[in-house]
Amino acid sequence: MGKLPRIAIAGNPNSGKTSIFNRLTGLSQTVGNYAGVTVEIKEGRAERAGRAFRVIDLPGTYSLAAFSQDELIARDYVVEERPDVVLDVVDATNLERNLYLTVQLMEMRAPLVIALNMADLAEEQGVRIDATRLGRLLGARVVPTVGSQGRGLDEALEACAELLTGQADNPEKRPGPAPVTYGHMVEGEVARLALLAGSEERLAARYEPRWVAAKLIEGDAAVAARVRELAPEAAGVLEAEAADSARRIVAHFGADAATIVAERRYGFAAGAIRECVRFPSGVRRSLTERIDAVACSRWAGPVILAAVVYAMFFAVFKLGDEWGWLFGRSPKGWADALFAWLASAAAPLAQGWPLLGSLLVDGVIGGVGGVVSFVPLIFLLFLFVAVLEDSGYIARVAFMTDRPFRVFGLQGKSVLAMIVSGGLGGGGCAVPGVLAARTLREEKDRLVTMLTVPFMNCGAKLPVFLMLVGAFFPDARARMLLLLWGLSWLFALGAAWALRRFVIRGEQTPFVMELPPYHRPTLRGALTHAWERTWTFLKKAGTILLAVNVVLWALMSFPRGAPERSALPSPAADASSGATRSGDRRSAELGNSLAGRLGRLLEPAGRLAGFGWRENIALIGGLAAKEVIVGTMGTAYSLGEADHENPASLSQRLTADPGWNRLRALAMMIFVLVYSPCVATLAALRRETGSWKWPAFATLYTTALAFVLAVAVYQGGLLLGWGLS
Amino acid sequence: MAGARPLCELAAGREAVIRSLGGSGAIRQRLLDMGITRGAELRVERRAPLGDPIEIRVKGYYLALRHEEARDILVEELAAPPAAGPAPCGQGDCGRGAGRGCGRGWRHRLGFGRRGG
Repeated sequence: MGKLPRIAIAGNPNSGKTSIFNRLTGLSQTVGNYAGVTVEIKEGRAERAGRAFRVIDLPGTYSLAAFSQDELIARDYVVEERPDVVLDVVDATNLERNLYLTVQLMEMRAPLVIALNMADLAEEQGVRIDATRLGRLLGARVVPTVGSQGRGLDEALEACAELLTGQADNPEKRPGPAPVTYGHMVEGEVARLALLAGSEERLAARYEPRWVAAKLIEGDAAVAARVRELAPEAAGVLEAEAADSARRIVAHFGADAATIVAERRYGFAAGAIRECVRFPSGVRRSLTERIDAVACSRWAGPVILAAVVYAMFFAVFKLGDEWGWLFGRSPKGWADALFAWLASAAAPLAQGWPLLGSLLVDGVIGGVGGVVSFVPLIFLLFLFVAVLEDSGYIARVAFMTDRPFRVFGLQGKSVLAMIVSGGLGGGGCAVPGVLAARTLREEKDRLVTMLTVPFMNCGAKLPVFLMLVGAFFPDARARMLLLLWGLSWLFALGAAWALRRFVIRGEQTPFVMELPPYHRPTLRGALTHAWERTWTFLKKAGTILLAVNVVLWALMSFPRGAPERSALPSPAADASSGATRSGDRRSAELGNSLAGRLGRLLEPAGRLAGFGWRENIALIGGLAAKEVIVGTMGTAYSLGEADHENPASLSQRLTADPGWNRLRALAMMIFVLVYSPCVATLAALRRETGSWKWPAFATLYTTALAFVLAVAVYQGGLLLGWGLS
Repeated sequence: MAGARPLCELAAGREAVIRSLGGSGAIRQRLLDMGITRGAELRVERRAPLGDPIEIRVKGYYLALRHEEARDILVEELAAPPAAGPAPCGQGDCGRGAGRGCGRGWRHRLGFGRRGG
């Protein structure tokens, strides 16, 4: 793809940029890698009438002031990488603010083609735009498009091709858009400074001098740094002159230069609109206004929000997991069945080569299956989130829930991630929860959200709770589960508050957010979006998860064979001396494995919280997935092969065990609630944060917190004399 | 005509002209970029269920911002248009004094102040 002409797509968020990119490139998309950057830049290939282009989707931004990472990336791409064409997607129903970005691209003299998107909606609203005239005024082709239906895209590509031909015919002078004039007084200052900047050869070869001048007057630090680099001798003079200009502007207008320059950009946009656009007479209440009058109102708003969230949650878990609507099984059921079948197909192998068989069945198939069986849930979740995003409702969610969440240093959009992770108390999963945090644009808020969603009661913790509650609190099941649910929110919000205060410090991101007009989401758009996110997740998280699962398998399988003498506590030790029950043998093997030894090594610490070596092993196994805890405990407590995964029999076994009591159960449940996110979640965290630092941190801080809490509960309970009965 | 006052004091349904923009750095630039420029007209659409953030209509689109940010925007209120009248109840502002929404609130008490006090 190296030699193809490059088209960079720029535009405001919500301008329909992504659907245009998807329409242009189809399935040829890849995620570009840019060092040190977590913002994804997607690339693809577009072909029209025998011409191929490389299309780059820049992050959606309102401005190119370079105050946020998105803006910096978009700007650097335009000025440093110099794409052959910048296709600026402009929302025709919201021209003034969209043209503000266009004006900035014009200032850079980027080779522009403008896609006047959502042209159909503008027409419906009675907004008449003279595209030809607007194009003449801006010095760029303006092509009306309807991105969601793919209309006008051929013409847009044609315009790009035309621009390229123009460049090829006239390589000396790149045809660019019309110069932006800054109006009274400011124009003179920019022109004067541009003259100085233009006389610096290396600087002028890279950047449009008028743009450099305007940026220096605005006080843009990144541009000033580039000037010092490219024109070290003249930089001092230039900066001093720029400061003088800024001072004169302040003296003249009584406001700082950045404000005046921004106002002049808006003035330029407003002027173009006055010339080329006719608005309908009389104000009509738009559909968006009518919806929001209810959907964001004080009383109905929260009720509707709760209903929407519940419906999403319900749909994801019922459709994905619980209802067998797809030929007798649920999608997750099919995935589970597939891996069960694979495991049984590999089982004969275990007879000839037990080690290989075990690795294949328990390590590889178990590990990959662990991820793939989540995929139906993740895909459905992404589908619903895409619908919420594309329709514009997610912005309303953030609007309504911002206030309560802000108390804890989070923001409105965090609520979705929390609920997906199990915030309603009835199951959920932190893996899609971590991924749902993508809707948060602010890096710090997103990080705090991702680090706290694992506290939620996910579906995998439930079997552990059900088993222990069933055994020790049989007459208070509902109350105990309610308590655990309340604790999960308490820990998540408390941790968010503490993280924001002590770890991820700094100013809370200001909340200045567009509430875009409601749009009917298209199925095609939502499916593309959901599939793309699912696939990225599968590729990257899957490989990590597989590796970690193999390691965990090795820990629990080596060294093999019966344990030597009676290093094990009873009843496992008794078993090795002659009993032949397979459950006892498995228990003994597990006790003798590295994980078992680690479990016993940790006994002194575990005992503080009331855990024995078996619990320690189970909790280590639970790192792979919390579901494993019950099964591993079953093995460790020497339940027979047939029922070692059945929580009921383990419940009975524990109730009968004199070492177990309510207090121990409570401490264990709290530990399970809080301690390290499972490997799948950690893999998702690694994928989303781009480094191992945060997953490592998440493991350590949650496990430390869990230990402290469990010890406090157990020791405090002992002191108060609880639970001994 | 009343003098300029902070945007966060305006009741839902009121219209105003922006007179000046305070604040500094990234947040100020962001507000400018979103069209909070002097002379621009805006209308307070509603407040969120808990009173904060607020939603305004400016330059033909809808923008949500917190009181924290709205406090830095000084506006001059326009006379209420005859048709609109006072904001209807349920739009988030009934039963509270117009100026009350500007309180600094929990975030500051808990130490999340953006400007470091």
